[in-house]
Amino acid sequence: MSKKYVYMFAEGNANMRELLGGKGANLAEMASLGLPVPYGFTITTEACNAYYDDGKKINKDIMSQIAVALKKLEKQAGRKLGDAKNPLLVSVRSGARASMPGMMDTILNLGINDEVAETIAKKTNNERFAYDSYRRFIQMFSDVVMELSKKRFEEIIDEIKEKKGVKLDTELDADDMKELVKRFKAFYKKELKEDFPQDTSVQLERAIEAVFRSWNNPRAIFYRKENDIPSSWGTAVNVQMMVFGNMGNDCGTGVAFTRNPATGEKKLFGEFLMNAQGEDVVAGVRTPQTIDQLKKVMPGAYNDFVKICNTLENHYHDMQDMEFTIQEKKLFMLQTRNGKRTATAALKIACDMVKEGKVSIDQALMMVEPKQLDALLHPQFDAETLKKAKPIAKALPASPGAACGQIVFNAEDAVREHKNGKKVILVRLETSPEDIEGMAAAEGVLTVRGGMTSHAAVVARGMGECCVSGCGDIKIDYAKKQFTLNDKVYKEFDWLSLDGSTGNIYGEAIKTVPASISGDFKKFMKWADERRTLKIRTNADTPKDAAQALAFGAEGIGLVRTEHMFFQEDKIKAIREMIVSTTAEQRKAALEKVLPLQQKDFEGIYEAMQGNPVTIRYLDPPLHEFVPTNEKDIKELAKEMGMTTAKLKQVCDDLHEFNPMMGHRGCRLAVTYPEIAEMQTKAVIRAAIKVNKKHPKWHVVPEIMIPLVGDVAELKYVKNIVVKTADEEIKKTKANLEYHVGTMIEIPRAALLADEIAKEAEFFSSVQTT
Amino acid sequence: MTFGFSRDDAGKFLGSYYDAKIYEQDPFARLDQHGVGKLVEMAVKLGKETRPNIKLGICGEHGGDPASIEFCDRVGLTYVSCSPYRVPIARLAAAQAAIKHAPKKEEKKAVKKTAKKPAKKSK
Repeated sequence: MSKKYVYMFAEGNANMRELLGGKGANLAEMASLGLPVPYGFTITTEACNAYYDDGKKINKDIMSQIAVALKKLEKQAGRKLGDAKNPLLVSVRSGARASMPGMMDTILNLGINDEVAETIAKKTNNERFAYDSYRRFIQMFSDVVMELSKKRFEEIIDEIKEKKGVKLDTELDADDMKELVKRFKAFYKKELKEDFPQDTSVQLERAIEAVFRSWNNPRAIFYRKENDIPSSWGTAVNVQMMVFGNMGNDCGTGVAFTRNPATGEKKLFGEFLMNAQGEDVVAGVRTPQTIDQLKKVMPGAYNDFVKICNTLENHYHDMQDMEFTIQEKKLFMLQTRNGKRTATAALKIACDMVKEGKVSIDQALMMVEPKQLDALLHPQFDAETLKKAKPIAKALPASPGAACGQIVFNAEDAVREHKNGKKVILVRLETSPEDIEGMAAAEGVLTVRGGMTSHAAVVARGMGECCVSGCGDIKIDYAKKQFTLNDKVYKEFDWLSLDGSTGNIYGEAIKTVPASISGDFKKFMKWADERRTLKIRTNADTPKDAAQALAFGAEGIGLVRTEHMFFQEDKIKAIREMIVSTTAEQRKAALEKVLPLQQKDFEGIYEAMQGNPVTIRYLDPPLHEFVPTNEKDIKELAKEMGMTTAKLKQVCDDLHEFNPMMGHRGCRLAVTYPEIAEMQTKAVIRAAIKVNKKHPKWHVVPEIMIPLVGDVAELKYVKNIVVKTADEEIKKTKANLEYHVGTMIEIPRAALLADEIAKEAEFFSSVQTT
Repeated sequence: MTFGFSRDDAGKFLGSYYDAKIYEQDPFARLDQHGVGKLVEMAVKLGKETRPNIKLGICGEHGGDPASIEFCDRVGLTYVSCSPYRVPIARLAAAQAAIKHAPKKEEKKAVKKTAKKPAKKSK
């Protein structure tokens, strides 16, 4: 037996969205709830995949199943597609598993040809309606199925309106509509060298194919990428008997949400248009009325609609986004789905619905998309000011948030101006580890090169700082301290605003407001904490980051990257001395300088974490990353070390590796230079003892992570150095300090031998995951 | 490391890989459960064999990605670590993972319990 590719609405339900798509499954569900849904059937997502597998063709099996379903639909409706006496008109609409609003195509009024139009005119005694529907169908069919430009059709309408001296579509009469149909058909023939199809079954087949095709139109592909929707899902196609909102003044159409999607307020939110079809509301040709006004215009339909809204919200346990049509005062439901909403609205709706007893806390927790919370955590632009502003360019939204400041072109200037009390935006071709301090000092970062995982993007996200990256239209002139964008020159200290959530860049100052976790957000997060078993820690290299994470609910630090501290101005000199040392004595002398500074770093972090666990990764990157690159720094360092610059350059060049990521780094550094691990251990332990003494209630338990281990013997070797140093420190102060030594499983060999490594490692603090 | 390419260089060619539909996701932003996940599961299993109470966690960009967090909950890690501004996202994602992985019975119980409580409160 062949596979079932077509389901009547009566055969489906809400749990079948994988097969029927969201729209199809919900139409079936509404039908089964006894709500007024026009008859129809759904062609499955599997049929869409088959269409592509068969080389963009609907195969015979599926075509014959569609024919059978159409027969059933004709029987239910008491009309026939293309029938000269009693014609059936249908809509053909897409509907994927996940809601993709406006991304794919829809065709309304399918089934009209010259003969049918005449019949409809006679039967409804409404010639204008018949030809209005016909011209709409030609327009949509040409646009969606034949890919003719929509614009040309709008121009033809404008020509007729102009000739007649009217402004609105509604002012056109039956003869004008007939004239439109004539002109549309002529245009169709001229462009496509064929007549507009009069065979209604050809119309249907082509429309279904077009909807399948629209699964792979550029905007749908883009939307899927943005929203993690696999291309393998495919779209279903819904073929449904038409109901008409454009049949006269007792007809209309609209869209509505059961609650406000922007604020979450519990009040019907939506709009409608009388004597119109769906696309008129969206197109904005006429200004729609708000849904409350329907109460006055058509109280009966309004009351029915309110009842249905309640039924649907209670049934789906979530806020609904619905489409409806009123035909001769009778209400029909054309769609319902869980409504898209802002983060603020999502939290309010979840909390309200728990309060109303409509959902459990578990259900409420599932109603909010975690990623949405991001929008609430960063400073935001003042909504009013933002409305008035116009972006000068758009690039990649690399790290969300809103930033407003004066332009600077390098990290040192950013740090200096920040100290002077200025708010700055750092504009760079791209950023590198040396820019970290400048990035931290800036309100936001704008780069010309680099994508969503570029250095600037990753570091900015880590800092919670706004970053817009990859704005290739900007031409920077570092020497003149200015950049050019669209022929306009922006100089140092000109104002700039960045929106890290949209990637918009504004050439002016836009006011920002800070974020906080309070109200519904706070209540909701408490529910989440009570439900989860997984602990949440943070990656933080500075006390500021650590304190921020604690405020956001982190329960410890999972990763402190000690090398990030090394780039700070007070340490980098001593670190460089250590790196270019040629003798162990020189190295030890340099490390002595680093030790108190590093200890202070750790104290700051322990203080910020208030006794929560902190995992510290020992020096990890290849040493070459730390050596000076500019002439001035090289000279200075050579002087300090009593070397010639030539000799120093030689030492630096020797550090160069062919494949640094696979080179002399991680625990390999500690094996060759045990004194580095010794220094870091002293700093970790001394800081912990000091902080515990100061706060008797806290019990700082440092977790020391030895990176890049591939063998248990290697871990044991470094661990011995750590333990020996740590125990000596503890013994010296007679303190009572607990600490753990573990590793990072990042080399595949370590994962294969994790059982052996666990003999020495007290934790796998970080299972490296790429 | 497992993929054999580094974050700093992958940008040059990953775009073509997405276009050609070889990879659908940035492996640096989302944990590759299919391949790398096997290694993670193996490390977790082997580590626990030797040391049943071993603390296990992940850090890096994945720590803040909801799909990766769900995976971490399923394979039995102790914690995930993410950048400060992703902590609330991770807290919610971890709660959702716990709800998804809860045995069916418990879920029903939770519904009953919580449905009653707020009704009382609202009075």
